[in-house]
Amino acid sequence: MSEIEVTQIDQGRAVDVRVGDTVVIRLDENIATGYSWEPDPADGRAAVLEQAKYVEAAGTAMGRGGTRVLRYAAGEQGTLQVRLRLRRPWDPPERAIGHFGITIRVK
Amino acid sequence: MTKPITPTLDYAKRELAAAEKIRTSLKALRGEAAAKHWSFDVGYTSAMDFAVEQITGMNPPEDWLERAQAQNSMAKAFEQPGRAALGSCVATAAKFNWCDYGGVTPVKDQGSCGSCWAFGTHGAFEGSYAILNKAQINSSEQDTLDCSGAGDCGGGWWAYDYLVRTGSADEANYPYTAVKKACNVGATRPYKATVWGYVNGAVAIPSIAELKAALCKYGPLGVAVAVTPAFQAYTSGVFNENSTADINHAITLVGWDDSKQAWRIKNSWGVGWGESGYMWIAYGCNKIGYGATWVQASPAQAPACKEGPSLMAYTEFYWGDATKQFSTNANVASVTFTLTREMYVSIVADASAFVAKGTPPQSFTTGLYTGESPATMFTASLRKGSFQAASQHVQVHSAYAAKLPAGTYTYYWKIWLGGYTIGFDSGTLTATAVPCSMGGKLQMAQSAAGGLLGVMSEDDAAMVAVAGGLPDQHVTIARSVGVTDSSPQSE
Repeated sequence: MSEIEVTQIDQGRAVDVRVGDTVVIRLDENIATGYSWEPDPADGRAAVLEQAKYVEAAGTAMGRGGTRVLRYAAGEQGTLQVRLRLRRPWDPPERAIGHFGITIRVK
Repeated sequence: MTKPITPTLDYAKRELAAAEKIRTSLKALRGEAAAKHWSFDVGYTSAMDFAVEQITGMNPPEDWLERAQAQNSMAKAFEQPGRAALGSCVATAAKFNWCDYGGVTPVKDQGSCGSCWAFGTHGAFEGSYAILNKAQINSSEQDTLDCSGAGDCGGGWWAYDYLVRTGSADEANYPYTAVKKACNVGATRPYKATVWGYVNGAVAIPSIAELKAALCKYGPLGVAVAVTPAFQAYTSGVFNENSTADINHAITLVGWDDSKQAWRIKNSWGVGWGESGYMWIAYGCNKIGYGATWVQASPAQAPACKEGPSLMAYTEFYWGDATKQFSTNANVASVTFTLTREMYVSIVADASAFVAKGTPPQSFTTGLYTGESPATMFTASLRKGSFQAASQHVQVHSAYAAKLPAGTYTYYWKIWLGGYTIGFDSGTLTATAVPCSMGGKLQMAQSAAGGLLGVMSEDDAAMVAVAGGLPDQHVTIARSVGVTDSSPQSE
């Protein structure tokens, strides 16, 4: 079992993993702006979102931001399209200001 | 196949489709809400999905408390007690909200840039400006983001020093882009602060009583708070999460309500968040009030209007002028002038009159209009008067002001009456113009026979056009600021 790290530069990539591996997505986010990365509903069971947490950056500045960390556990063979939108919870979905997506292929 | 995005407000549907762990964590969160008696509403938003984890503990930014005490010592020297906020706010009152007294400017939106420190700074500054100068401004957070050195889109701290030293541009001239850019050093910066300080430089979070007293004394305050997913998902009610997370966000504190045991805050996430951009947050909740600051705006500056006013046109008549007697609606006089470019124009009609034929009491209406027909006048210029005695001479005065594009204009002075004849004593009709706004809405204009031909004034600023001899196109300019009863001066 291993962890595969994915960041903003991996946008659009396909990530090949094995059952039992974990895909960790790390994306810049700033909770002080009201914007968060929001995953679309899952369209498969190949990998399951186990954890989504916001890790605030070091320091004490107001508005300093942090990182959104999402952990997907590969559960069974197949494919999962991961799509995330950077948006405010109260805004309509189409008003997202950022998009991120990868394909998790579990073998 | 990808499922469609769930509509924003269809949180229950989203929840049904969520992974088991998400549902479990949501259930736990709701359990926490019930256990802690949260009194605010949240939606099942993306924010509620996530936990917040912080790498560091709470550390004040670089000795800020030490600096706070130094700042407050300096503030004492520069503070102008006479310009403290108004008596409408009483710190011992059960509730108070500067929104009810014109002390809060509209909710803004910082976008995706972590510039809340600039918005919190300007929220307090604009509040002070509104209270002290009785004028709402829209100062430029982008100016502060680009030029203050107090932070960037990755965070910052209070930027009042910049407003004291340099001032702020107007939003219209230095618009917000949510991206830090090179400073436009040549921008005009009409808004300045005189002094600022911490509500209590000895502690991180002042007491409720100290915050209330500062709100009353100075107006809206810049304060920090800990934003969490629940804070992000707030829609209404009194937010009472009581998270112990570190502060990470700046907002503007604008009032309180003891019956709610809560502060009223203005956020900078647009009007779509919370209660039209506002939140009730319980006293002490999420470290609200951390690093609380006040600022005192400087007096409004007289606008730069280097070219001064110009006398565009002038006409006068004297006692004994038989053509200035009217028994029906008529034009008393007219002036024609040409503007070579857009200008702010003041038209002033001023005379005294008497009942030439007929028996008092009699009444009249006077005013101005650009059309020659005596039957029409600008609503804003309409003035009424009456004669109660045969020997009475009353002032017939009307004024009108407007921003006019380049062109040639004729303004007619109207008199409306019936059933008697009105006779005029000496009178003047004056058109004065300046090439720029004087800083607000033009409120009044005056003229008088003799050397003084025209005065334009807005709020505390006045500009005077004075005849250098016989009326002609040559005028001498005098300007005064903060004087309502100024005498004309020659340059």
